[in-house]
Amino acid sequence: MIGAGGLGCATVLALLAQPKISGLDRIILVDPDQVELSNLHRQVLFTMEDLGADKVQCVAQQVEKSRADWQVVPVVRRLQGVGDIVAMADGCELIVDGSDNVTTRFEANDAALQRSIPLVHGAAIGFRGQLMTLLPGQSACLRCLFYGPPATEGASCRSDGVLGPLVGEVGWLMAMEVVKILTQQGAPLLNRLLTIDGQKQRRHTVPLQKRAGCTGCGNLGLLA
Amino acid sequence: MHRYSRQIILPQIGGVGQKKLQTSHLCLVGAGAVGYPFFLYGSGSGIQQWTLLEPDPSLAERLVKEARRRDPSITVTVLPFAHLADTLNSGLQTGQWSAVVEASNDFAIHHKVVTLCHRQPTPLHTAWLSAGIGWLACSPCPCSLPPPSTSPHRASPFEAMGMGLIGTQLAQQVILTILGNNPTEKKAPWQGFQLESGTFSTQQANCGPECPTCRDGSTP
Amino acid sequence: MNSDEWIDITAEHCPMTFVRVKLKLEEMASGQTLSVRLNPGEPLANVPRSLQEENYLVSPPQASGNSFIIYVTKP
Repeated sequence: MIGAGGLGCATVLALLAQPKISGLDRIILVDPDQVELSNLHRQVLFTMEDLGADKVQCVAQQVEKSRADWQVVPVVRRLQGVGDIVAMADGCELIVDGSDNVTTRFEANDAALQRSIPLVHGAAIGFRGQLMTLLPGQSACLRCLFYGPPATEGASCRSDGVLGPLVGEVGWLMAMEVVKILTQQGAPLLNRLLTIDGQKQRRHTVPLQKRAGCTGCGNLGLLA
Repeated sequence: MHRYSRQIILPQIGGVGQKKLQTSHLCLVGAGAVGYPFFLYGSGSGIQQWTLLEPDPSLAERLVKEARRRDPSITVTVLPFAHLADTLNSGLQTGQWSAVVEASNDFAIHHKVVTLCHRQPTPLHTAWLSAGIGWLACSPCPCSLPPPSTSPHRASPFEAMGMGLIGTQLAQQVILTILGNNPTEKKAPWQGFQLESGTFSTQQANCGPECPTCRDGSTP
Repeated sequence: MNSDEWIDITAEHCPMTFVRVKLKLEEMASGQTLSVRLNPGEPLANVPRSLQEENYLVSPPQASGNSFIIYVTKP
């Protein structure tokens, strides 16, 4: 699981709400950050008592309290590219990407393709959220849809703003995707991008398809 | 202010919107699988004044304890659930609440609250999970309620998570209502999310001339 | 250039730099001008751009000692 911020907190909370999830016993949680006051409006696993502490440690403690059968491995550091994610995901059955930047999202996509394991992708900014699941070889990847990260990222204070419960919704949906993949029940968001417009309260699923010549899955010979 | 900085920088909220959130007062019915996540995100966004009606004292206690741990400026007044109708009626008459939020997921309570709040000026945000579909609406007519799930084996394997999910969606809609900008207000259709397939549906929330609830002499 | 109000955000970090300016501008009337003292680097790169995205008129930055001044007019 990449990121223990708003999406990571919500995903973990939702997984904790589910009584039994077969196939889930270990979560490697990676995030370099510590809890800050401005996190609390959306990262609802944390409270004032956690300020300054490593996010991944706080999440691990919360999980320990409620699920003795799960092992959370907290990793306090920033992931360094695709190779690092591939190595970190050794032995994992899926990657959950709740990172806060576009570059890491594409790196997580590429790592999932290299490892040939599913990726649950979620993102939220302002009043907008999106979600999809990648099953390498079977469904469209992030690069089929968005090609690649922009040359320059962010650089606007406004881009840091986000509605707390919208992040919560995306995180909760990500957890649902995790359970669908692990338990093989229900239909995950394969070849579908779920978009949420929080301001208009509209939710749509956009059909996707694998793109010929995609630099992600196409390069690995995974196109059908 | 620092705590809410990521909201204040949103053009749709700003300092004015944040003040509205922090001075609002919600009546929450239910502090369980829907109400608790709703409270986490609602209080996280800055809503500080809460009136709680919850039949299970341990759930009410959990929420109060959590509020204290999160922010000392949050006040939660727990009122006796046995007087649900009286409490709601008196609160609705005084207009003290910015909104009523029904998050019980018990069909009898759900129906009662929707009926009591019907045609009241205070908006009611309500949600309901039935046969794997999470439904949300604002001030719907009681005649439009999605049916209760009668068959336990039809329950979705994602039921527990689905309740938290609709809690987060409810919180978004309530925030928009407090900001005076809720597109789902005024009896828009119920919005449904099918948990297993990840698809959406809608169900009419408006009542027509044939509505049994509204056929009481007044114009629907 | 004259301003109706002023604010110094040299002690703040993102996103509070922008939040302080935004809150100050919300208190002001349309047509009024706010002078903002800000640090080079991240605040100078981000705050004017964020204000322009919200349709404020922002003057080119002027160096003033170790910091910069921008003038922001509320539309």
